[in-house]
Amino acid sequence: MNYIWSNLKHRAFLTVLTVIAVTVTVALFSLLLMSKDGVEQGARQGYGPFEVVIGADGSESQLVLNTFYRVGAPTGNIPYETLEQVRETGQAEAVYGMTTGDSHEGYPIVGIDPTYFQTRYEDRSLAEGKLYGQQGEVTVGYTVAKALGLQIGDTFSGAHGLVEHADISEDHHEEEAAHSEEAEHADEAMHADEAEHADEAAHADETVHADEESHADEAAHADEAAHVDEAAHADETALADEESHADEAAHADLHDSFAYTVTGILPKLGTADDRAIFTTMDYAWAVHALSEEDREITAIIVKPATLLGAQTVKTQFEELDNVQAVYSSKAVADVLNMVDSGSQLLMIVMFICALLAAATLLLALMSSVQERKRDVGLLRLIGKSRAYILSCLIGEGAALTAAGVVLGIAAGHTAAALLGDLVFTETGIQLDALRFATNEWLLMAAALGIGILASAGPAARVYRTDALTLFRN
Amino acid sequence: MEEMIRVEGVRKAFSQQQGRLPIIEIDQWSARKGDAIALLGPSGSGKSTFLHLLGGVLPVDGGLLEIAGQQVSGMKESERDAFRAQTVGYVFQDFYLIPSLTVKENVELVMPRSMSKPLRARLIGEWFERVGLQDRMNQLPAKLSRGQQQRAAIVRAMIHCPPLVLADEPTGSLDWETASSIMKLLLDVSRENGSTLVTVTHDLHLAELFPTKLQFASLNQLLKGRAESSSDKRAMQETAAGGVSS
Repeated sequence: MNYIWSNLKHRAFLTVLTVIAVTVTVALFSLLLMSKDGVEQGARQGYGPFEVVIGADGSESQLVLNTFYRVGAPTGNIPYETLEQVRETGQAEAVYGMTTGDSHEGYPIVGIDPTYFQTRYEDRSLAEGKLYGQQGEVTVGYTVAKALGLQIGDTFSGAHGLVEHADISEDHHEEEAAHSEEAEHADEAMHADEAEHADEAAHADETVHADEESHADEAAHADEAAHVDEAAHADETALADEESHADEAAHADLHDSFAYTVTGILPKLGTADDRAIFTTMDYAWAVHALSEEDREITAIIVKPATLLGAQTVKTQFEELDNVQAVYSSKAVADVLNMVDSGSQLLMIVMFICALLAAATLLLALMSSVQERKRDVGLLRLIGKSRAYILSCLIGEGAALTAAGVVLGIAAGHTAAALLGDLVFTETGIQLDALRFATNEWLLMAAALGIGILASAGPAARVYRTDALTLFRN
Repeated sequence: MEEMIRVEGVRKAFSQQQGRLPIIEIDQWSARKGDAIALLGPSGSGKSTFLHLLGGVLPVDGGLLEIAGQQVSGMKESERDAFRAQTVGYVFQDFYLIPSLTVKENVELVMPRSMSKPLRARLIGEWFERVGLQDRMNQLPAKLSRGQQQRAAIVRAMIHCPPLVLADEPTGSLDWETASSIMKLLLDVSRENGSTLVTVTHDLHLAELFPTKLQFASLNQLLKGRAESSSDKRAMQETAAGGVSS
């Protein structure tokens, strides 16, 4: 042991380099395993007791991802009456309608009945304040409150559309503001009857507004509007564009005039709800000034009373036009399979990293063996057995790998602890730094195995060294 | 006195392209416990090979070789490893201290694992004090002078009290004054340990310090005709100069 340690110390630079290579590889592997666990854990926890989701026709995965994980755009809207119809089946223990489509600083505003929290999280109490009860009141998720520094009593206005990042959201606001100014300019230029025309168009446009799904669409819309707006002064045909421009401005006005007040902050729930802002379901109708007959919702989540109930609800509602009903677990499993394929690809890249680390170790030991042939000859001369020499060399490889593994696991978990909040905010993946990820023990064992295997080659070369080597050299 | 080395009909040859080239052929020779023998002879006469046979580094091709009551001829490689570890101490011209280990760690390599830590520490302390390196034992060999390195190498060869000490040109790379003091040290500690010392040297003045001086040519049947009496100073000088006396 002393001999191994002394050799490692003697070649400090090579030792440090090798340990760093192993450490970085193991740390990346560790982070990857934690992320994989985080994704799976998040997926499992993501839909809670709501086994069935009902939404507009489209991709099952998209519906589930948007409803439970706030990822991507909704598949569309369905009539509010569908919610009543599900309740009337009597097959559901709990049913909640959900309205989405707006956001604040990149965080989605979700309209849902406040009893949802009781059904989903049972006796978890709020971090601060109280749950929303009236239109305009919001309860914000833990991550949202932390990221935006929201306090009880703070107010803000929502933005139309779902955007992923706050900075994009800011751009969006700037664009909207610029757009509004242009719209004002257009308003001034327009005749009174043109303005009336614009109002009518705005109304018509609002009804389809809920279908606008992305910021990109809106940006494109804004760009197009701005572009055509210039042409409108010269061309009579630009009237329609001016109308739509004015319509967009009207939207911005509606959102800006609708203020939300923070009444409560949720505790850390470890689900996508941490990254959402919750309010009453009717906010969307109020914001977009929808009449009662035009009311729509984005999705319905169902906690079935029985397994049979789940099947009944699914079968019944998937027969409706433009409506789909899906099993949450199946859709999540499909998504996980896709994620798994992605992580397998990442694993291949990681294995290449591992091979590089093993090659570094191999080269380090090869060079060490070459340097120390005379030493080995001496050890053989003073009576050290071949087994002793072999164990010293393999021990060196194992010691280097073990140091790299320990440091790598520590580095991986430290990184997870330091970056956990950021990763969760950006991706929704929860990294649990305080627990070993699934297969992390296997990772350690495999790394040690590879280290020992990489040492075996140089060790075998030394194994053949006899005492006379000392004199030959 | 007790017999330490017994050689009967020992032969050694090396493989060459043209076949086996005989190097050593010794009919009969023996040395007693505590003997100090200076082995003299020109380069290439087989002295070092003879030391390797005595130390069990090389296997003999035939004959009987017995050291400290153990029949070395016929031993398997692993047995010869164990034999060297327990019975033989080596001192070399180039010291061969492992550069990554401190002087003390180099010495510890030859100490049996079964030895208790306090005894080990006491022995090391005593030996390093004896050779005047008590303040340098935790340093790497590169930090020591050549004379100091050879002293450390002598401690490594002697600390486990081997019955046989083999020294191959132990003073070959040292200045005269240092060489003389090293050779005296080697003789002293061998005597105190009761070890048999067989030293190969080219230096006739240093050979004078040994009670027994042996022309290797007188021992090796292949060189017998060239053998000279160890008392023949002129022939010894020629031998030391690399020539062959007739």
